Amino acid sequence: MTKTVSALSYHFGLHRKFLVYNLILRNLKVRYRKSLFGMIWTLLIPAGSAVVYYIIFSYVLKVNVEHHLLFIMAGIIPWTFFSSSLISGMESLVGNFSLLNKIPLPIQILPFSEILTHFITLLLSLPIVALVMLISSVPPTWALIQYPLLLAILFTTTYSLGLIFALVFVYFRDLRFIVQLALQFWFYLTPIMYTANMIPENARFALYLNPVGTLFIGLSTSISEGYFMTSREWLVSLGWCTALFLISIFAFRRVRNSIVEFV
Amino acid sequence: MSQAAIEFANVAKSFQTWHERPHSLKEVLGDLMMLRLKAGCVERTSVLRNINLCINKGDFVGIMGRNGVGKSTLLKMIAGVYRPTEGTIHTHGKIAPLLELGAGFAPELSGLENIYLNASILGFGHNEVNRKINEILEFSELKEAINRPVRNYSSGMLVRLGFSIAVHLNADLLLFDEILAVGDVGFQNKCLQKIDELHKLGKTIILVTHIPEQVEAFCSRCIVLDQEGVIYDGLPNIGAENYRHLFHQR
Repeated sequence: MTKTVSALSYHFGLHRKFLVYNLILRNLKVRYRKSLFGMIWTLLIPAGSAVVYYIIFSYVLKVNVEHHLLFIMAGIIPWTFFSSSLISGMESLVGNFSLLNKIPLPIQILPFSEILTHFITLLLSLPIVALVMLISSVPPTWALIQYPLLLAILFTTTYSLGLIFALVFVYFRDLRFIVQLALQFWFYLTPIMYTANMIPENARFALYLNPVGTLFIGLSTSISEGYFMTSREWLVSLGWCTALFLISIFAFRRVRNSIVEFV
Repeated sequence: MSQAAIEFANVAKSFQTWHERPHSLKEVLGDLMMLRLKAGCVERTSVLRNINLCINKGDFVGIMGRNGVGKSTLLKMIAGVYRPTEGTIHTHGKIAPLLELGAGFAPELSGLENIYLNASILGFGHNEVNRKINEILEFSELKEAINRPVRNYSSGMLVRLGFSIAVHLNADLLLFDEILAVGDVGFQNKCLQKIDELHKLGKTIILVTHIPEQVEAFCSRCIVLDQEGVIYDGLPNIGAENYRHLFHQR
């Protein structure tokens, strides 16, 4: 038991908290130091694109979704976390080559602190969702108690994928372009712009093949409609999360001793 | 009786190199079609062979040798950046790997912010940095420049800051890889004196250098490496002579 706990805390870099803290502080400071509005930009960009999508889908395409703006906002903010984490997590090892080559570091800490930085941004964006709730006069429901668990699954899934991508990217530099392209498809394959029941019955299974498909149903509709996820949806989300987490641990253990020579 | 700080037992290190390393999908697909993904394209380059060394606690070792004989590889293995291909290395005590001063400095952050960042990268804790912060600032002689972003620092200033962080934290074993090549003579001497002071406090020090006079003046032991491995291990002045001799043969 204690062995599992210490292995887990190692995988999340908790044995080097001061390092993780400083890396996150660096990321945040470097990103916002010289801009007048700083962090506000990072919050405004997903909110702005949610508004654009809302106008196109609701007014131009006349898609009818209950509390449409809130639904899109509640989906796009976690998606922004997901996609930007995958990109910067992937590049974190290759980008820090000169450091890895000089100082022995637990390499997982680099993607971990990148993704944690984005996660902090996600948490700071949540008031925007609350604001849109207020504007659309949607009262908070008990369905929100699912939210912390949904965020935990989202974080673990993203970290696992980010770590896997970071390791593969060391050996295979085309991955950057593949991931960038795949994220565009992935965005529309995930129910963020549309609700799950708009998918034709016979294509519903595609949702389960998407590691974050059922997760995003919960992230947006638990807020916009007070939806409680079905046990099947929970199982699929948790299943993907666990599978990816185990793969990431396996991949990490396989290459961690030799990867520095290849970066 | 002195205790061992670092023990090398039959250590060898080689690196994988590809003749044409497949890097992009086009190349990988080409290789797949030609069924030569693994076959024949991997080659191992041997850097160090059959190294047996025992470095004692409190030694001040100068490592010398021509370019490319594996001095840095040796240090990186002690630091734990690389693992030996064969054999084992045991180290005792906390290591400060100063293979590059100021590794991981963030150019946009101030010198002061970088002290915390760099110390955490080197594996030291928050309290320890807080305890030593005044000594670090004083030794670096950066004064009010400490609040400027390090992007605007000269290379001498970067070395002063990096060195100052590294030597004030509480490591048992300090590894220096030709890091004193930058910085003016005044600061170089100050650094060497500081290293000497740490040595007198009982710390183990390993210094890779190309200046035999430094070894003669400060080290307690000299190791000369060449293609065939350790060619001399013993007194500093004899080691330095051996090193000079390497270049007189031709």
